[in-house]
Amino acid sequence: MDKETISTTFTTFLWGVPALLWQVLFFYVPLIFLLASSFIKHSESSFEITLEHYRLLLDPVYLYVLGRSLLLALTTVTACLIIAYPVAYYISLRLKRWKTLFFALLILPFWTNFLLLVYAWYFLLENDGLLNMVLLHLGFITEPLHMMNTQAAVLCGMFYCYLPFMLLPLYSTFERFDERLLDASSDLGATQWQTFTRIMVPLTLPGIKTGALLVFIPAFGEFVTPSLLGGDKHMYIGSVITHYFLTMRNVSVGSAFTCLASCALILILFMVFMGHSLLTKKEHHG
Amino acid sequence: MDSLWRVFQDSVLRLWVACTYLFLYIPLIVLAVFSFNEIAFPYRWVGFSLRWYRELAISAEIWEATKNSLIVAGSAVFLSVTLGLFFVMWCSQQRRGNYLLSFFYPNLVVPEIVIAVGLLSLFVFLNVPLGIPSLIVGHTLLGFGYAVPIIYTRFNVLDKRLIEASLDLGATHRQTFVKIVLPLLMPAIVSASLLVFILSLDDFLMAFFCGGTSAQTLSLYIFSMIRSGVSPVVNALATVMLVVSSLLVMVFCSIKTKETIW
Amino acid sequence: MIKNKILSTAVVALWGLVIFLFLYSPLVSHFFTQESINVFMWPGVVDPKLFVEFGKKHGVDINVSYYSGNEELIVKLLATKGAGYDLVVPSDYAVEILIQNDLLKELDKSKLNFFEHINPQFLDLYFDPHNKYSIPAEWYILGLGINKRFFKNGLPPASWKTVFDPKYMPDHIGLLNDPRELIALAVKYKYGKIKPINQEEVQEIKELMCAQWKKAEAYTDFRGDFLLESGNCPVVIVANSYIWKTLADNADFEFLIPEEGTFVGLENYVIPKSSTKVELVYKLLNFLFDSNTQERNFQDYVWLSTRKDAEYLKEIDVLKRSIEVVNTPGKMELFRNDLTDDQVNEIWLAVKGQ
Repeated sequence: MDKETISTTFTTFLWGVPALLWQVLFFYVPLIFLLASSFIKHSESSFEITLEHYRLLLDPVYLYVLGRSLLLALTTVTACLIIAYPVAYYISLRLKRWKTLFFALLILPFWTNFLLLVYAWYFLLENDGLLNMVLLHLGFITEPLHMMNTQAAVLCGMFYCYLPFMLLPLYSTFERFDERLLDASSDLGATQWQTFTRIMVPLTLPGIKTGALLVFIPAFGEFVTPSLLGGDKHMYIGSVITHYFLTMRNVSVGSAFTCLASCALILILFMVFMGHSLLTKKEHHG
Repeated sequence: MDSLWRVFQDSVLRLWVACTYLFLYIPLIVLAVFSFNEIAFPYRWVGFSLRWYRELAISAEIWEATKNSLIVAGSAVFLSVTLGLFFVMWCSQQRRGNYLLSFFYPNLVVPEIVIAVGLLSLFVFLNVPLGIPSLIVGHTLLGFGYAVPIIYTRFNVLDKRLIEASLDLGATHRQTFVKIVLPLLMPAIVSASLLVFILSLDDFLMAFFCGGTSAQTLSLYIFSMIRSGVSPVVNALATVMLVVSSLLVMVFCSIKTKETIW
Repeated sequence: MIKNKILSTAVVALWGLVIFLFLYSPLVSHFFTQESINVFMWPGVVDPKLFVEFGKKHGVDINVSYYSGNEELIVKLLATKGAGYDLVVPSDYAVEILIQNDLLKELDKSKLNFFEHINPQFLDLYFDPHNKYSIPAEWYILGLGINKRFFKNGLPPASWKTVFDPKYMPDHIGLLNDPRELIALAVKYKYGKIKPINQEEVQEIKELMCAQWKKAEAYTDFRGDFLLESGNCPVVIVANSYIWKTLADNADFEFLIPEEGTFVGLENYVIPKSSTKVELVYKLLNFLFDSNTQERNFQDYVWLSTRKDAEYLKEIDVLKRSIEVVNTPGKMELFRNDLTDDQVNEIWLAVKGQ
């Protein structure tokens, strides 16, 4: 190796390694630290390994919290998928001239601070908010509808904030979709429904999966939108984590719960993955 | 009959799309329109006024928050994109490059709240003062999750023969890098920068946990305003931020029409 | 090969050092500003302009950091043994914890020119007998905010049963989101005053608060007045400091102080033990307690002064009534550390996990 190559290799290493170091120090070490703190009871003098923090979590209330977060995440994913799928199809495959514009309009809310999006919903849903004012004015109702601080408002807000996360991967997949397959399928005599279920859905499945993951994983840990729009009446995984880490400043139980919730998430994803591969295996054999 | 059915389907589809877009945009339009309203609430239109924009302009709190947000976002972009770029270059020269790159993929899969809370516990344990630097660290970390894959994807599709040719023709490694590789990677670098910038500006969870209460960012400011009620100053702020986001989206889209990144 | 490995390790170590220096850099800036006071307090409590004004007058730099809760304050001071801050503003029960951990400096009251003006009701309390370490700076009481439009047939009883007793609770009530405060209210309602409770009583409190949850519209610390104004809630539990302005603007609202008595929250100024700028801090305190300063802070920043001569407060009806309650012996109760963290967690999660 000549001198130049050696110095280049060294330079590349010198400037390339900080990223890796950063990642290890601030991503992997904290995760290990979280796991470790959940097992350690640490006071002025002593230092022992214990399952005490996890025992505190055996209360069924934590199961309800996990269940509630799961339900919220699932409903959000389903709602987003159902609404987003046709939209992505239309913009990608049916629009010719205005495609870029519509695409830009699609991702603009994605690039807006989600707190502002939540704030916008205050404006609309409050008892003296715009929606009620309009309905009262038009005479459809006599009393303002009570929409804020309800589960419906929470779902609305979640759906609103996460829709772009589902739209973008779907759009991207449809972009790579060969439209001629649809024509070929109908030429060969398939009904629309058959074309849809046998051609379109399976081929866009990667996009559906990416979108579902991009929505499900953050929605599972979401707590800000539910607390702002739901009156903070329920605790979700994120609320419990905030409660222990920031309000009560109890790192041990907080880490234990975070680990528990993460295990639940991994378990759920694993089951979905298993279910999916079982289904595809069946199709191959059947 | 068949074509009638098709027309019906088409119109339903169009209605569906139109409703979705309306649903996406009505709240934002309402926000913007009411930022020009004369009074705070109830939500009646009283008269056109720039009053809230004036209040926005003189609010020391908002300027402080904006300054902090921009410092953090700018640093996060600079660090994650440049260090990410060099990392990709280093990996490309290694035999086990792919293995090293995969270190960064979990960033996008692990929920942000877990990352934030992990960082917080580590910082508290090490007595790290929570503030702007700790927040920059967190955002850069999240930024790596986007920057590394984006730059690597682009780097992968580069024609390596160009690099070989350049070296064969006598250029040094540095010259090759600056004059050949960098310009070819530029679309990926720019879109990664935009993404990380917006990610950092809009981020709330990381700031909430790792910023301490001393580092006030825009997200934290908006959050505290929402928690205390409704204020039209937030409307004005929201409109301004929407305009900024639109500009960034336009830049992003113009790059996208040249290359497919997603 | 070995040289390579040594070199690589050196590079990694170097970068590690750079990263750590970057992370700890805020500490460094503390050393360079000699003539400065570091204040640690609640946000939105003191007008920052006042600090700037004092700074200019005395040629000092005042750095204000904020905390979001007493727990954060306690943890931070415990970790740093009080170092890094010269003036801190903890709440009543937090002062007790700080004194127990020997983190505070004793005050030299001769240097403070306002001490005799402080309302004696706020002095010599359980958390700091004889006020050796703390000065009460700001107070608030909890009460019921009422939207009279919902009560055409007469106001609800001025009692805590309006928000705890299923027979009296209207639908859609607004509650506090601070676990300690709300649970303290529940304990007071059920047992007459705040006190340590045993496991059986924990269950009773859980049931009480779960029943209350069913009628709740929202849990919030800061949006109480907004919930009233938007017509969402007929009744909210709210602090007088947050509601007096709304009452002034709107004749439809009312603030009821329950006859069983209520809780007073006190924010206090304390000086951490390791502070070296004590003289400057005394000057700052004299400035902050000056009547003029306090009156100016009152309008925009809801600072209810502990001075007994703050007459401008008595001009506002709801504040006058609050002061009367405070001055009546037996009506005023303080928040205490009587419940353990585990009990608070258990109750709070049971209520919100439904």
